[in-house]
Amino acid sequence: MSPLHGVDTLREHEDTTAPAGGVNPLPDDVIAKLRSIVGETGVVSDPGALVVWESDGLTAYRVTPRAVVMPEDTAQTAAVVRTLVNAGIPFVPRGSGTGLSGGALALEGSVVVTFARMNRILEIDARNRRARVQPGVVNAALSAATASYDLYYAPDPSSQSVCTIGGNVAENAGGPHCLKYGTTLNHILGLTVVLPDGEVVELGSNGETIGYDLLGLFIGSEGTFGIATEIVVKLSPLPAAVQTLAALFDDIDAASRAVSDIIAAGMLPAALEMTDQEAIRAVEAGVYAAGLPTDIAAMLIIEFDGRGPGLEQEAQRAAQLCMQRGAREVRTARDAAERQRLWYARKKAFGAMGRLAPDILVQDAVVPRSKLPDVLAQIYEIAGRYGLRLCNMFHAGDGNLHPTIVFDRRDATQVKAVEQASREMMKACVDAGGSITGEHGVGLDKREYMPLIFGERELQLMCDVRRVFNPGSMANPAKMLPVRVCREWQGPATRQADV
Amino acid sequence: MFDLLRAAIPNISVRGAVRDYRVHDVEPGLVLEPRNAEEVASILKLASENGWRVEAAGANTQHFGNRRTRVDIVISTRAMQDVIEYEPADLVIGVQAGKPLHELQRVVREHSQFLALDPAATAISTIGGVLAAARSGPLRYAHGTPRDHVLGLQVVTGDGRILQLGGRVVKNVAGYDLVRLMTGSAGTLGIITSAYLRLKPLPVADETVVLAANEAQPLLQVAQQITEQHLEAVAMELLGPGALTERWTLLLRLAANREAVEDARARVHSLARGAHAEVRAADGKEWDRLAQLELDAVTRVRLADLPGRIETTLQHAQRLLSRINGTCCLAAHAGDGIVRLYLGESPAEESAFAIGEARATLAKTGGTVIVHSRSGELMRRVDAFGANGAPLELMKRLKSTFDPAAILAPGRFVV
Repeated sequence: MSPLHGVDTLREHEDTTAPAGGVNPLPDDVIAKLRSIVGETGVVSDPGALVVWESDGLTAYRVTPRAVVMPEDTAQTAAVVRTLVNAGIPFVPRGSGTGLSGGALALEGSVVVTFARMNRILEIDARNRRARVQPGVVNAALSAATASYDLYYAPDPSSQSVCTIGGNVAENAGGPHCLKYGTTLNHILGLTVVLPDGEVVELGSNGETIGYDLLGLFIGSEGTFGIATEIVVKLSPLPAAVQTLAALFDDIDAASRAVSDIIAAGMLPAALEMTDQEAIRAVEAGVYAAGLPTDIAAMLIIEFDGRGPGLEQEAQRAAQLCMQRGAREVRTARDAAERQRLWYARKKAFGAMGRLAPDILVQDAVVPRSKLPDVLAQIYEIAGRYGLRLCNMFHAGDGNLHPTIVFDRRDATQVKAVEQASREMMKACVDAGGSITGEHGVGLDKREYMPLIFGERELQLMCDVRRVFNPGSMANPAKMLPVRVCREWQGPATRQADV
Repeated sequence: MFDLLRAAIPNISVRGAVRDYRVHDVEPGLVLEPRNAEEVASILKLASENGWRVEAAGANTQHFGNRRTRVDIVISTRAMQDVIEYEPADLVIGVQAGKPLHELQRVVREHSQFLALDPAATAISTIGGVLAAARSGPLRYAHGTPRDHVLGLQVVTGDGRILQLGGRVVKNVAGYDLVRLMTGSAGTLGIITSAYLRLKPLPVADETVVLAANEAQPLLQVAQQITEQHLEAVAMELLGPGALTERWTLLLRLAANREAVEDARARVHSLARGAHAEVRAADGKEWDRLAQLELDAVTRVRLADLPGRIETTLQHAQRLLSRINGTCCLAAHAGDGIVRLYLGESPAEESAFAIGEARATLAKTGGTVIVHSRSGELMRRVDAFGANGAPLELMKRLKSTFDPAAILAPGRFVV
């Protein structure tokens, strides 16, 4: 049997708790209790209105939540969580719903707890380069608010204009500039967390870590350990100088070899990103066109940042390495506007692909950097064999691939081809020594891929660790770990028994 | 105990000199040198069944943490020193836990790379020990602590399960981050048998600058300006009089490309002039001398609070010192808000009292005081970590998930 047996990537998740023909509404007394905590307008229970929350950024999965609750602070969140859990109702924390793994889906009859009203920056401490924020603060808004101090929040997922810091913490979000600055994990200094039993704990301190690194453990736990209601983030100095290059290649293999050359030469660019021909064409056809030739095979965006001295020389060395690998041309952004256009060509490529076909499937595998040329070749070969339209725009410097397939899910044959091709691609990445996800998280989408990289023992232990924080699986149930692994997921009855 | 072990692992390697592995005033029953994770697992399974208390030792700098009342077995990682995999193009290396840090640095230096960790005991520390104890050094200012460098771990839990955690790629969010949980867990959740680590390219230029002054304040001001101007300092150490020079000293390491380092050096010199600090000749050996101060110390006390409160933290450290009669050196990670006291022999009673007092004071602002000592007398009287306010209940439950029989260094850590 294939290790991927049971992956049902593109089929809508079947919600076993929903009665035929619609959502199972919350009991009236629970709704009344929730309203008494967050106010009349803080609870949405009208089935028509709830459709807004039926999916996240991965629209292939849709499940309408039983209700949506919008607390304003830690105390309200704790009261909401206690109310729900006492009534035996699980909950799903949710930011802006831009996640790409189905992590914010309300499975098992969950209620969604959103950060819509928790979007305040509570404190900016420029001297200590940190800020305390509520989880609903939008990533880019935080950087905008701290810019006057010459500081910014470094992790920059492509969805940064919409996604929230709370969501970033849940997913350990990445972004192009992780290459130099690290992921969310490296930028979170403290958390206030509401545990699934309503208890509030503080993780992290102003001094050193005392005891186990629960802060590190919580980050990336995908909402299954509870809700972070206040977040202390690290702020970084805005780089005074930036050099952005676009290296245009006629051969994608040469482009990925140039990536390794640059790293091997001891340079550490702030970002090192690749966009392939299909993605460039999609972008050039839309409003974010950057004037790139559409006949090139691939573009590398190479960015250096810092205080200034030596930066230009470094960029020149990188440009030289690209030319030695046969680049057709290396362009240098002359000003902020040009840099912005190049970055739009990269960050908006995903959205542009969405206009090519009704459905889109993006993967997030990571491979060792030195394996990039091999793995990329395999991925294109697999797509070709299944006759699928595929593009790639990804974090080449980190080896974090985002093969993106556009398709029409009304066409059953195509859907089957996409499923099979996806499995083969994931397998190729894992066989190269990689991981199934670099920044999007496991969620629902990659749950059944977990046994590809973890053994039974590790998966069991992860269930045990979750049980420490979330004994009855009341926080974001049925995510991350394969259903058969954790005993509390055999059904609602056993779940209750496990509490 | 020995017969049971022999039966399970016929060729188990036993080390004679248990005295060398004395921790505080407690001598272990046996010191074993397993050759791989499977042997470690066999030992731990037996230990769990029989309630033997086990701890791991790398370089045998075991005076980390609280005093233990009994140690039955020490598992030394000396027989596990191989490089498992090293692909320079990936800037990733996989090594067994017993690999000495300085040997790893030598291997990767040949490819102009380095592991950006420089704990004081670099010359003797093993990778397993550095990760388990989350040891860092001056480079933490620019490069962070062990949690920022570990990609994957092989670990044997207290009940003998061999686990592969994380992976060997630089970005990975699959499943819970048990790598972070294990790092810094002081061998109380499991024993690390191998690790995949992230490397960095050696900077082209790397030089040391030494500034001296009669007071700490002007040097802290320079450090603060270096931070504000984002100059390419990768380490900033403030040293008290008598540590390196007879005056207060700011030891700086500038590393980046050549142009940036030259520019930064000029700016540092000008900041020094502005603060009336003297620029001293430096030869780069200062870092080893600083490390030696820590290695020679009987007791190490770390006081930490926000970087912006370093002057206050320094005052707390000095007040603590004034209560203790004894020799001492003071060093601070000036950019990170951490002040270290390296004490020689000091009276246990007074020291314990003064540490407790400093801890209570720092706790008011969310700061911490950690103490490690070779002195059993002192460690009988003081808690090493002071887990005030930390979520101990969660930690206890995690501990029993990994080590259900509670055999891994009970009492050493916070739970």
